[in-house]
This record gives sequence, structure tokens and C-alpha cells, in this order.
Amino acid sequence: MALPNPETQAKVASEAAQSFVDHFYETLNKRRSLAPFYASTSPRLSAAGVNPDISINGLVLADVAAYESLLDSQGGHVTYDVASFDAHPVNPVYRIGEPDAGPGDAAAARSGDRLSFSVQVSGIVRYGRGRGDGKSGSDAAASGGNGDDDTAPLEKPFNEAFLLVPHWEAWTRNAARGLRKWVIVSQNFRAL
Amino acid sequence: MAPSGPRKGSAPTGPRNSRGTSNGTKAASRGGISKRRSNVTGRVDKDGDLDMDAPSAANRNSRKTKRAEPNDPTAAARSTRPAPTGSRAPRPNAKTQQIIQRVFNGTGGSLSSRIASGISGGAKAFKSTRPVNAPNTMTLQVQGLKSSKAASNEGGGLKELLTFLERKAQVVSKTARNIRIKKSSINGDFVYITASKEDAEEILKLNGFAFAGTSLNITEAPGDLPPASDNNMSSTALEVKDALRNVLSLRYDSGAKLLNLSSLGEDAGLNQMGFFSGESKPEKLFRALMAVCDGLFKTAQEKRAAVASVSLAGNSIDDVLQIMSLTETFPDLVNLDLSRNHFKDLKGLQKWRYRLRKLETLLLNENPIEAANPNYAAELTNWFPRLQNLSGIQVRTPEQVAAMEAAARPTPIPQHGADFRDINGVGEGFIKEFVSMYDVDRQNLAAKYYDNESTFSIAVINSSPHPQNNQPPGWGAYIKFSRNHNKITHTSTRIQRLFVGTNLIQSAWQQLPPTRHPDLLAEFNKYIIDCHPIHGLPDPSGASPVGVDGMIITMHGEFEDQEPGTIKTAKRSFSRTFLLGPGAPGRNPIRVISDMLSVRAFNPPPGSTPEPTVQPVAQPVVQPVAQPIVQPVTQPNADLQQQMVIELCNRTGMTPEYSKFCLDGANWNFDQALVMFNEKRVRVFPYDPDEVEAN
Repeated sequence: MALPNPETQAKVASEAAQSFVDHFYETLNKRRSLAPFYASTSPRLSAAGVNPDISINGLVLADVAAYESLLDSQGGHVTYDVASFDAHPVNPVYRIGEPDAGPGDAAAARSGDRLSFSVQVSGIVRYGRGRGDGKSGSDAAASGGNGDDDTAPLEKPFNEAFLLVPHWEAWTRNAARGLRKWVIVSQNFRAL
Repeated sequence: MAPSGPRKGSAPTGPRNSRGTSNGTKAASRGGISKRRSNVTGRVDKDGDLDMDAPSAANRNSRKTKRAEPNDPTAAARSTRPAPTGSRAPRPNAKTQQIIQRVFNGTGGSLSSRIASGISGGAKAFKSTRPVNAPNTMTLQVQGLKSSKAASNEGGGLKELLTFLERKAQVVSKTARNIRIKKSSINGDFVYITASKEDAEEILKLNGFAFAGTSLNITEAPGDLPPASDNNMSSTALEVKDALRNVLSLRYDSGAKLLNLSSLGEDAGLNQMGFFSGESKPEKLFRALMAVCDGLFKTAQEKRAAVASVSLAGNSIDDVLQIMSLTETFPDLVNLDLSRNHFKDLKGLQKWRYRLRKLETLLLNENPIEAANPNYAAELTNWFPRLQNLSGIQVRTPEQVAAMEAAARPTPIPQHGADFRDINGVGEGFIKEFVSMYDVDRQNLAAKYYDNESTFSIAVINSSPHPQNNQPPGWGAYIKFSRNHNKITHTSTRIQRLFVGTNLIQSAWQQLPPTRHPDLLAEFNKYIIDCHPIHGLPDPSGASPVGVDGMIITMHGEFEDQEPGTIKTAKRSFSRTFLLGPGAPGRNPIRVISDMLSVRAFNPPPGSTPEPTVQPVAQPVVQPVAQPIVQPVTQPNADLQQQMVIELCNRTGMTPEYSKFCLDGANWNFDQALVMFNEKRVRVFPYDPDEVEAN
């Protein structure tokens, strides 16, 4: 099968990672459902035995629901600020769970649609209402600024590595709108 | 907040309120007006009526621009004011003077002038202390209020007069912009108002207009008669200010940080000054006292440090409205004594429901409320989250307060030990070799584990949090390679900074500064390493079309580097993600598919001891005592090793590989390995994966 050239691979990985990082952390910060970002959302991948492997601070979680309940257990106002991310193409043509062969396959593969890629994200987790919050911000300023240590949010660096593979259902001709084009098969989070 | 000016709070809110007119019509109908408004951008309508729509935007813009001009004194006055800190900010002296002035010169009428009604909003009131004779403002003298029907209104009718002038002036001038009166005061038969030149000219046109049964006589104020100058405080006012300061100093206990304002009515000094005779009200006195207090402190912090407690016992107060300025002057008050007052219900305290968030003691003894509302304690405890002592009764313990605060704060996801789900020791072997070789022999490391499809890149995070005490070192040697996608957004640069293949990786590694990583075995607590299997990786042999299995390893730790050129060293933190897969036939059996490095300012990893140097020092001391025969050369034979591994597995629940790993690190000294395990198990040694999953 024709492979996408290295530049295409790099470009597709970067662009897909950009879209993934933008949406994933926004969803995470708003605590909306994260299920659509994981391989478990794809019947094809699930049928092929692909399940997301989620490891959070060293704890292996059975599924997305377990991850979400862990997130909920943190309480409110936890925000993840991405300071950096990077992405590499991994498999130019990922094939696990792929649909039956069709006429457009070669072109799709050549354009990088079937790429799997890795993403490494670094940033800051803020626990508690941050400075970005208008109300508490002006309060802090009014009470003399940095004097209030007890209201300053706790901040920690975090690092998170993902492996994403094509979400086959999102590439079909009559795909439902709004499906993620790539989904997570491996997630490795550490607060540092 | 700027456009609505100093009187925002007190302006009447009738349907014809001038402030509403610019927006008010917008939603009115779907007819012509809203249609025309939708293309505000500069289309003149057929009648040539420029005032109808477009100018509403244009005019407002011009005002904005004007305000931004640096030589505009109003702009300057505004910008020197501390950020919009609301009523909490310490108020400048000018205001103190103003308030005191009012307390003394003031008749009932002047106190209820619109400026005075703004007192509770500190920042707003402060605006009115802008220089009166500023070059582009104009002061007008208005006669007629005294003889109008409005004079009998509450507040002497000034509010109504000002609203009338603003509204009428806007209508008469047919302008869409709001006419604003910046400042006003009553002096004898005249009302003096100050507005911008533009606005004042419009207001002048209202000369002779009828207002509440009388006709207004509006003229330009005589030049050298600034009504009620703020800056030239009368000598009596200054004297009073000093007297008040004196009273305060007598009533302040710096040791206890207590400001004792109890039984003010019996204060000889205040009585002597005639505070409680005539028209002057205790409220005004209190306001003046608070204003003087405010003037004494430059910052809120200073204030907090000086006054933790205030007593207002025995002052016949029945509603906190009478002492509102207390919470403005001392928002962070910890203890407050309101005993022997006349509070009879919660309503009298309602205004403070969301204030005084740091209040821990509140005394309401000997107030009618105690008998009138037995539930008041429960209610007040709810109002003040840190309240512990209410009228001498403990309503919360400090622990409860701490627990409540802790509960309201999010709790980070706990840290677990390494999630190291290795495949046949592949990950372990790779990491060990990688860490030791990366510092000393990058060329051969790349040659061994990287092939022509391998990818490497580095991302620099130069905004990472770090301990405050030291300035983090710069990133000069790294930044030109950085592939941080948040910063590097051009596709071509992103492609260029992805190093593909052994040669490019070797060349990049050669240009990166030399490094030293902590020894993986001896200082394993400086690392966090997780790994687990992944599937569907490209098969370099081409035998398996659906791909092969491999693993993903994430490693977090620290390193020291040395700047090329200088010999300056710097300590930094890093995270590195490897994707490993089987190598091509004839090559090393393991290859790196992807290697993503990210570097940031040094920040010790969670769970690591803050004093890492202690350990290496302590160990040599302990070792000879515990095990005099250290065997650096001779290690126990394979059988004995096997037994020790099994025993350590049983004792610790670690996998055999890691028991062996641990024993290796302890030179096959069993006791020491156990000690090491106990010291570091929190985050170092991986547990049996089955057990992890069972948890």
C-alpha cells in the first residue's frame, strides 16, 4: 500500500494533534464527556480488541468512565493549561480494525488519513479558582494582591503522553458529524 | 464603568433615564430604527439626519479616544487610581478631607448631595475629587433649586435637578451621547455643577427652562470661585481631622491590634468637639473616623497587620447600615465586638451577609436579638464561613474551619507508584542503557536503538512553575530546536524540527548541551517511569500487515547540563516519551520509533525528598555497620540470588523482575534492599500489574 511521504506524515500528525489538544483540554476543563475522544467510542476498534489504556499518576483505569469519576473526585475548579505539545507520526498506515477494502483506500492512505501518531503534552494543572477568574482576581487586588496565599491556586506541572489511531467510523462516507477523526488508545498522565 | 460616571448608583432609573436612551431603543421593534442601526457603519440616511444612528457610535468613540489622551486630566486622574478595586481600596487623603469637611460644614442638604450619596462606593466617590478647574471642564452656576418644588424632596432635590439637566441637555442638543455632570455641590442659593466643556455648553442652553415649578437660571460660574474646593481644606476641618486622629490613637491598642470604638457617645474628646449636639449624626462621625483610619494606611496589608479587632460595643447601633464604612475600611477584620447595641433582628445585620469573610469572633451580647431570635446563632454561623466565636459561644472549631476550607478546595489525583507493565524486561533494559549512554555516548546510543524511521524532537517549556528562590537558567542552547507546537505554528518549521533517521538525530544530539542524569539505580527516587504495551506499530520486517506490538514509556526526571562555551551548569526537569518496537531484521532487536523530549525549569518530582544529597552520604555510613562484608566483586551465587528474589517478592509484593532490580541496586544486601524498598516504594518500584489492576 502506498505510504504518505514523511512530510505528509509530519504535517498530518501535527495538525491532528493540534485539533486533539485544543478540543481535549477544553472538554476536560469544562468537565464535559470525554468518551468521544477514546477508542472505546469506535465499534470497529472495539471489535478488533482495541481498548484505550489509561494510566493516571500510575493508576491504571479500566475505562473512560473510571477516568471521569477520578476527575470528578478532584472536586471543582481544576484547570489544565497546555504550555507545550509535540507530535510524531507513528504508523503511516494503521490497520487494526480497518474497514473492508474500498476504491479510495490508496488515496486515503497516501494523504495520511490512516496515520497513527503520538502526542506529548506539558502544562500546568491549577487546583482552585485561578487568577484568570475575574471576581476573585479583583478581590485579590483589593485586599492587597499577593498577600492572600490561601486564595492562590495550587499549581503543578503535568505531562501527558497519548497514542492516537484513526477513528474508522469518522472517515466513512456518511459519517455522523462531529466525530473525532482520531481517538486515544494510550494515555499516560503524571502530575509532576 | 467609566461612561456612567460618579453617580451611577444614585441615578434614577426611570424609563426616560438619559443613560438608557442610547441602547434602549435597540430592542424596541423590528422596524426602521433597528434596521438602520444594524448598518451603523457610516451610511448616511436619505434625510441626511446624521444624528440618527451612525453618530451614536461615532460620538461615543470620539469620547473614548479623548479620554485616552494622556494630557486629558480626567484620564490621568483615572489612570493613577489603583485598578478597579471597588470599595475596598484604601482611599486617598483627599477623600478623607472631603468627608470631614462635609461632617463639619455640611448641613443636612449638602450631606445628601449626590457626591455624599456615593460615599459608600469609595472609588466612585473618589472620582469627584478630580481637579475642578481642569482645562477642559467648565463649572456652571444654577439658580432655582431652592425655590423649586423639588427642594422639599428627600435630599433637597439635587438628584432630580441633575438628572433633569442631563436628560434635557441631551434632548435639546439632539445628541446621542450622554451628557454627564461630573461634579455638583450646593452653596447657598446656587448649585454648582461641573461637566466637560462640550457637555457644559449644552447644559447652558437650558438657561430659563422650567424645573419643578420654577425657572432655572444657568450661567457660567464666576471664574475664581470653585465651589467647595477639596484641596484647600478649611482650617477647622484640618483641626478636626487631627482631633479625630487623636481620638483614634487613644483608642488603638497596638499590642492587641484592637481599635476600641466602644461607647463613642461617652467620649470626652468627641463630646468636646460637639459631635453629638446639633444636626451632626453619629453616622457621619463614624464615617469620618473610618475615613481617617483609611488615610493612615497605605496598603490593605498594612491595615490587616495593624487592626485585627474592632469594638463598637455600646453605641446604640440597630442596623449595620449605620456603620457600613467599617467593612469597607476593614474588610479583613477578624474580631468584632457589637455587644451592648440595639440589634434586634437579622435584618439589621443583613447588609453584612456577604462581607467580613474572615470574621472569626462576633460578639452580639446584650442585644435584643438574643432574645428576639433564638436562631440567630445558627444563621450567623452560616453567613460567616470562618466564624468560631459568636457572643462567647464556640460555634465552630478551628479544625472545622480548616476542614471546610479543605473541602471546598479541589484535591489533586493521588500519586501512585510506577505503572511499569514491562514486556520481558524490554523496557527496563532499554531505560537503563539509555540513561547511562545518553550522558556519555549519544552517538552509539543513536546508532544502536534508532533507525532510519525513528523520530526525535525536543520541546522547550519556558513558562513552567519553579521554586521562587532562584531565577531559572535560560534556554539559549535549546530554543532553536524547540518544536513546542504552542509556539512553533508554521508547518515548515514543525517539519524541519522533526529529526527523522539516525543521522539527523545524531547531529541534533551532538548540538544539544552535554548532560548528566542522576544514576537510575542509586537515585531512582528522582525518576518517575511508567510503561505499558501498545499495538499496531509499523513492522520493519514487513511480515505483519496489521503491525506489531511494542510499548510506550514515559519518563520524568531531572538532569544537569553544561552550557557549551561557558562551563556553567544548570539543573532542569524533563519528560520523555518513547515508543519502542521490534527492530528490523539484522539490527538491534529493539528500536525507538518515536522519542519526544520536553524540557522545563527544575521542579522536584512529587514524593521525592527535598534533600537528596543526604542519602548518598548516609548510605556508606550505614552499610559497613549493617553488613561489614560488602561484596563489590563477589555477589551471592545464582541460587542464593533466586532465593532472595523470591523472599523479597513475598515481603513486598513486587514483581520478580523488580525485586531483582532492587536487589541489584542494593548490591544483593537483602536488608538494605528492603530498606530501599520501604523508602522509595511510594513511587519507585512497580507492583505486580495484576495487583495494580485488582486495586
